Order: sequence, then C-alpha cells, then structure tokens
Amino acid sequence: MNISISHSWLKEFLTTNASPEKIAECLSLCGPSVEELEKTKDDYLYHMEVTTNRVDMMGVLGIAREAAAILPQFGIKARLKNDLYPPARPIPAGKPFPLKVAVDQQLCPRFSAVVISNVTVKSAPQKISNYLEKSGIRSLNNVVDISNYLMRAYGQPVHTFDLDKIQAKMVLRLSKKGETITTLDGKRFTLPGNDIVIADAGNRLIDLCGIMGGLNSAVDNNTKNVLLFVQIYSPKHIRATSMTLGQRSEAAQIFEKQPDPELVMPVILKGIQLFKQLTGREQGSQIIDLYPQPPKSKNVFVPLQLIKDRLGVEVSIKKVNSILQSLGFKGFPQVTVPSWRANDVTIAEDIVEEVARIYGYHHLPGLIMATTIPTNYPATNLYLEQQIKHWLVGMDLTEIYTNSMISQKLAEASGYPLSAHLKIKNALSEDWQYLRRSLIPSHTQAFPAFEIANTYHPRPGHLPEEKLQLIISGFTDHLKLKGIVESLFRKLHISATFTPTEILVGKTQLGTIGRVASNVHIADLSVSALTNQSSLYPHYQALPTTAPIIEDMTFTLPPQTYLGPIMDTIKSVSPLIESVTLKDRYENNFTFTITYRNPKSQLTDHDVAPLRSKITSKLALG
Amino acid sequence: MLTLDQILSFKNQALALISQTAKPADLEQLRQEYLGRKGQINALIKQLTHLEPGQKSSLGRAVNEAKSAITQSLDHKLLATSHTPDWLDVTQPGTQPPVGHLHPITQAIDEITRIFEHIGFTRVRYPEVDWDFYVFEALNMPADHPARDELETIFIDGPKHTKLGQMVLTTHTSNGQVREMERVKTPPIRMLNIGKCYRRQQDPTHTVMFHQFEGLVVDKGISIPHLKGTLDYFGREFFGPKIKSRIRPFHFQFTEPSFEVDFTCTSCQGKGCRFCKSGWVEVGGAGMVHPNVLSAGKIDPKQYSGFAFGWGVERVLRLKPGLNIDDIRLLYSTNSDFLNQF
Repeated sequence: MNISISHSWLKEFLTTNASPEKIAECLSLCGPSVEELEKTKDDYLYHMEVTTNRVDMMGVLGIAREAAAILPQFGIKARLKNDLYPPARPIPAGKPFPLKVAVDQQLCPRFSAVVISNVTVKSAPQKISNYLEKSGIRSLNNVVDISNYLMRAYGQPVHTFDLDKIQAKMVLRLSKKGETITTLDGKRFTLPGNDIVIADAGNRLIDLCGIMGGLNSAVDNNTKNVLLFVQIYSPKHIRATSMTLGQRSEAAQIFEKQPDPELVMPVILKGIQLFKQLTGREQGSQIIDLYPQPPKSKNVFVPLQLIKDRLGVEVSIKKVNSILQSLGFKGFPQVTVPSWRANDVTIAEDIVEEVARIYGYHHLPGLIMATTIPTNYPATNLYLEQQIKHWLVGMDLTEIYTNSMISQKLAEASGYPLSAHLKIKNALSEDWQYLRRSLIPSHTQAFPAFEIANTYHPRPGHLPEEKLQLIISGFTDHLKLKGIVESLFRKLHISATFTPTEILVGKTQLGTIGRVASNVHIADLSVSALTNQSSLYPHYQALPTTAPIIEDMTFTLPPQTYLGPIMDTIKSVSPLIESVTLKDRYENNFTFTITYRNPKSQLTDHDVAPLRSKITSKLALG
Repeated sequence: MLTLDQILSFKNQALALISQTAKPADLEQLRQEYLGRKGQINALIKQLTHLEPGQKSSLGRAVNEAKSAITQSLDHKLLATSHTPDWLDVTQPGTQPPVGHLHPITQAIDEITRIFEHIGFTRVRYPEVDWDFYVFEALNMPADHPARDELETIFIDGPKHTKLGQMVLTTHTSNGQVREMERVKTPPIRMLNIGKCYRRQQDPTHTVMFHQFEGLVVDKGISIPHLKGTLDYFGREFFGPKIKSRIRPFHFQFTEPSFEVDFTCTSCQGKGCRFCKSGWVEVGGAGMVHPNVLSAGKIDPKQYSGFAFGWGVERVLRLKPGLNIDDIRLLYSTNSDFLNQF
C-alpha cells in the first residue's frame, strides 16, 4: 500500500527539528520505506510504502508514531503529539438517533454513526484543503474534506450520508445476487451476492459498504443533515467484493486489512469536533455505537534470550522496554500489544522484529554462520549440465532460453495430442496457453543453438513429470549436427549406438536425432540419461607398444544402406580391429579406414590378410 | 645376437644426437640415417627375424618404441628449428576458431552457484509446477490472503488435490523451502534453490517466465547477523569488493522479521546517481524463517531458527556493472545480435 503525506501535516502530530531528508532516511531504515521525498512549492511530500501488515500506518498519526520511536535512536529529539488514543470520556450524549438500525455483527463488528444537523455545504477552510491537496487528495467541500481528512490523518475510512435521503431505517446485511447499486462516482454495479450492503426502509441499497457509498444517499450542495458514519467491516467480505468488482478504493484496501476497531470512537469524536470547527454545527443526535464484542487486549510472552539470540548481540531489558514503550507496547517480558497492532503482532517473533528494527539493523554485525556444513546432497548432477553447456558453446553453439508456456499451435506440433498437455487456466496471452511436452516446436531460430529446459508430462492426480531435455537445433546439415552430438558424447565418455530411430546406450534411450522439416535437423536428448550414462573420466587404456596396421577398404553399397550397422559389422569381425572410420564417399562407394592392432605382439600383413577377406565376405553376405 | 640393451643404447644415442643438431638439413639427414628404407631401424628389424619367437616379440616392442621416440623427437626438433621468418606481424587479425555464446542467465546462475557453494550451500532444484500448499499455504499464506495479490499467480486447469490444493506455476523459488525441510528432515540446512518462476506479467522489467535463486539456512542459533554476513559476502563476490549490503524492515508472510535487501549501487559505488538516487539499489526480500514455516516443514521452531532470501536472477544480472539491460524481454527472445554479445 502506498501513502503520501506532507511534511507539514506530519508535524501536526510530531514535535521534532529533524529535516525531511533525515526523517525520510531514518524511517526507511527502521520503519515504513520512503520511496521518494518530493520537494513541493512550500513543503515536502513523503511518498511511502506501507506493508500490508501495518494498516495502522495508513494515516499520518501512525507514521508520526513510528517517527517518534525511530528518530531518538539516531540521537534526534522527537515526540508524538495530538494522539487520538485513548478517546475522551465521557461520550457526549444527544437526541435519540433518528434511524432504526439493524446490523449483522459478523459483517460489521463495530457500527457507529452520528447526525450533524443544519450543515451548510461549502468549500473547506484553507488549512484542511491544503493538507489534502498537498497529499494528493482533491479538496471538494467541507463535508467531503472532513471525511477525507479523517481517513488520511488516522487511517480510518469514514463515510458521510445525506440523512434526509435515507428512508427511516438502515439494514446492514449481505447482498443477494443480482441486486444493483449505483455508487457515488456514477458507476452502476450488479452485485455478485454476499457483499456487505446497507438497505433503507424502501429496500434501496444506499451503501456498498467499505467500497463506496450509494449515489442515492450522497451528500450534495443542498444537503442539510449529515450522517457521519464510521465502521469496521469483515475484512474477507470487503476483499471479496472489492476484488470481484475490481473496485480497489483506498477505503477497501484499508478495511480488508482489518483496521483497529478501538479507533472508531476517537475518529467519530474528532469528526464531530471538525464539523464544529469547520461548519459551526453541533452533533444532532447521540452517537450510536454498536460494539457488542470489543476484542480483549492481547499479551505476548517474549523471553529476553529470544531477542538476544535473534539479534546476535547483548541487549538490556531497559533498552527493550524503552523501544517497546515508544511504539505503544506495555510491559516486558509479558508484553501487552496496543489495540492498533493487535492483528499484526501475535507471536514472540513479531516483538523481536519491533525491537530489532528500532534498535537498528544497521547496528547489528554481519558474520557467516559457523555451524555444520550439510553434506547430504540430492543426486542430481548439476555440474555435468554446466559442463555440457560449456562444451557446446565451445563447439560454436549459442545457448537460448525459450518459454515453457506455448501456444496451441506449438502444442499441436509436439507430437502429443493437445488434450495431453497441461493447460493454463488464466493465460496472459494466446502465446502462453499450454505447458510444453517437447522443446522442438519452440526452436524455430535460424542459427545453431541449444537449450536445456524442462518438459511437462501430466500424471493424473499428481504433479506432472518434469523431464529435463537438451535440444540442439538450427541445423540444415545433418552431418554437422550429428558430429556435434558425437563430439559431446566423446566428452561425456559415452559410447552410444545410433539406430535409424533412436540413440541408445545398451537399452537406455538417450534421445533422438533427425529431421523435423525438409531442411531442419534437431537432436533431442534426455539430460538425466546423459548424466547417468556419462563419466567424468575415461576408462584408461595402457599406451600401445605395438604398431598398428592401417589400411583403407572401399565398398560399393546399395542405395539407402544404413552406414552405422555396416561399420559395426566390420568392427565385429575381430577384436584385432581397433577402429573403423569413414574416410570418403563417392556416389555409392564408401572408403573406410580400418586400423588393426594387436596390443600384445606386432601384427604383420600375414596376420591381417584373413581378417580382410572375412570383412569382404561378411559385407557381401549383407 | 641383438639384445635389449643394444636397442636402448641405440635409442639414447640417437635422441642425444638429435637434440644437439640445430640445422634443418642436418636433421633431415639424421631422419634418412635412422628411419630411411636402408636406415638403422630397418636394419634392427631385419635382425629381429633371426630371433626365437619369445624374444622376438619383446625386442620387437622395444624397436617400435625406439622408432616412435626417434620420430617424435625429430618432428619436434624440426618444428622448432624451421619456420623462423625474420618478420612477424602480431597486429594482423588471427584465425579465430568459431565459438558460441553461453546465455547470460546461465552465466549468472553459474556464478551464483559458485559463490554460495563456497560457503557450504547445497544447490537443489524443485518442481516448477507445484501444489498451492508448497507455494503458498505452507509459507503462511492461506487461501485469499492479500499477500497473494502481488504474486500474479498462473494456475493450471485441473482438479484440486484434496490436501495440497490447486496446481500452480511457481511464482517464486520459495516453494523449495518446505520441500527442502522435508528432504533433509533434520537441520543443518544450507539450501540454494535456483529455478524458473512464472508470473502473470510482461513488460520491460518483468517477464512472464523468469528465474529466482533462493537461499535457506536452518540450524540452531541462526540470527540476523548471519543473514547480514551472508548478504555482505554475496555482494562482494557478485558485484565487487567495495559493495556493501543493508537490510530494511519489510513484511512477508513467511519470514519474521522480514527485510528488504539493498546493495551499494554499482554504477556510482554508493555516492548516489541518476539511476539509484540514494546510493543503494533494492535487490529483493529476505527474513528470518517464520516459525509456522518451520512447523510446516516438521522442524521444531523452538530448537531451530533460520533465514531465507529469494531474488530474481535477472534483477541481479541487470545490476552488474555494464549490464544495465533496459528491456529484459530480450533475454528470452532468441535475438542473436543480443546473445552474441555474451
């Protein structure tokens, strides 16, 4: 949540000589983050980010309270003034409340209202409108400005009705599906149901509670009698309505974060006072205050040792006490939480945070933990993945990252039916509707590239199987691609067999290599199979002490003969054949270089001759 | 009769002679003398034929070895003595072997991994498609909690798991926190979880698919100073020796206390510039692990405490000096002009 307040307004609640720059710096280090300090004509504007747990800081008073606690830690004098807590007693009496009221307490734990009679609607005095305008709120008239002032000063949303537009009664209830309301800003809503609303005797909806008031009961220039209205609502209901209708008003954002119900009475009293100051009018009725179950004050036990353990430094009880008191907490180690922090501070760690941040994180040392280093690693071989990437880059390939989410078109090109893909429920774009099962359709780039990424294979009732694949793509020449795959295998010390349909090590499938379009060649390999089959080091062979006999043999083969099996056949003729490589090809003629070696004794031509003829006869047999 | 000693001494003499010979022409002559058709090696091989089979093979090996040693030595010497032109232009362009490009995200991940492994972190990887339980619920974010708003979650179409809830794309690597606690069972934990994350947003500074790295430390007596020490260490290693870190109060449901982490701006070294304004740049969140999260991971929060942090890889990459990439969508665009720079 963001809030902007002017320096002059802050000073209304804070006595200090600190400069706005200093205040901004100290607040950011220990409290709400001042994202920007804006210099205006004759003032400064703090643009602050308030975290969602600190709805008490959504008003100037809350920020001032923080500043009064924080600044003294930097050696700067600061004191909170004009605090609204606790409310003045006794509550002033008045004439009976003119409307019948029925409130569902589950929806509205505190309902308060008061009538201000014979008001003249006109522009507000300079001081109020200045505060508002400087903080980015448009000044409209004295009545609206009072409610806006109350909300920004104290963080409690306030509404004003034209009393004379309400028929006899207020029923606070849940809406029924299909009921309609037009809000102050002229927008008409058909309600989804279960929204907190107020209906009058004519069963007209006059308020979309916590979001915005109804147009039919709004204050206008002719309004005479104002109903000042300060409530607390069930946060869940406000949030649901606000989200469903997309109406994220400041009031809704505050109400859904459960502001302090104890603030209601002080704010309505302050409102009455402002009406008197600004319009000269007194309250025209008693204050109605339906508050059947005030929350009990909350206590949290915090051992001093816990604070020391988490802060990692010695802190005295005296220091802890003074920090907590400055924020409105009472007692230690049994700490009573102030009403405005009741939802936020619930466990000892919350108190630790309060002490630590005011003490100052910048005062804590930094050291790397000296505890035992864990050694129970998961089995995944991430190092080898890194190696693979580096090797491929060394072979002139560029690594790319493509999106795991794909369009329907790419999903259909995966080889799996569309229905066998995981579908995104709330896709941001048509390009990202499915989770891919294959990396191949994503690789449309025109340069040699590779990627290691997951593919997602649905399993009913379970999370999908996430299979890591290595894809090498962007080739128009099969042999270049094949060479890269072979070189990669050599680096990984994998000896694989390429069959016409798959790449195998023993019975393990490593993946496939092939043509996906007339001139597009791609290799798709399983990373886990690669890492399982690979080893960092080779199986060392003693250096040869005998000389090889190397010779070439040329064969003419029928068209469309798979060369791999031919070379395997040659190799299988004798263990004395050390290697078979393809030296040259011309039309259907293939020249193989065959290396013969016996590691134990020197081979002679005499030894090789029978092998040579055996090769010839084996190939002739096909 | 030929003996092994004779062969060895022949070899040694030959090698000594070669090493003392400087002129290429003289070396060529030596080659003829030793390796030529009527050379000394062939003479030795001829002598082998008169030997008994057992002796023949062992002496034959020795002759072979001598032959290859002499060949290698001659080749080396020739290479060293020949090709010595009087003028060499070292300013002319070289013949570059073609070389590809590692993606900057991979480079950053490699570097982050190395940095944290030095101080005993274990790199892990957890599902990218995970249950609501691990992504939110176990992290103290019950259904409909406002804290979920900012995460722009992407949901998978399909039935809910009765206990673990809806299937979602991980919005952060924090889903690894409780998963790592379940894997390790008993601390110590020093986890580094790096993975792909997804959120429903796409603009110059956000991509719908992005990467996060998550640190989690759980042990007895883990304190805020341990987090600060780890952050300072990372800042120095990743951004440079003069870079410092600081933490400021923030709020996350799964840490208590929670922090926003800033590092000294790398452009101005903390002096304050147009880019950072204050001399500091925000990198991401951190905090002390919330007791509810430890409990969700079946670790006793009374005995153990911990800290966690989770930041965008893209974010820290952009803060590297010289890498102020103005539109991070380029990272995932397969644009070769962009990728070829890395």
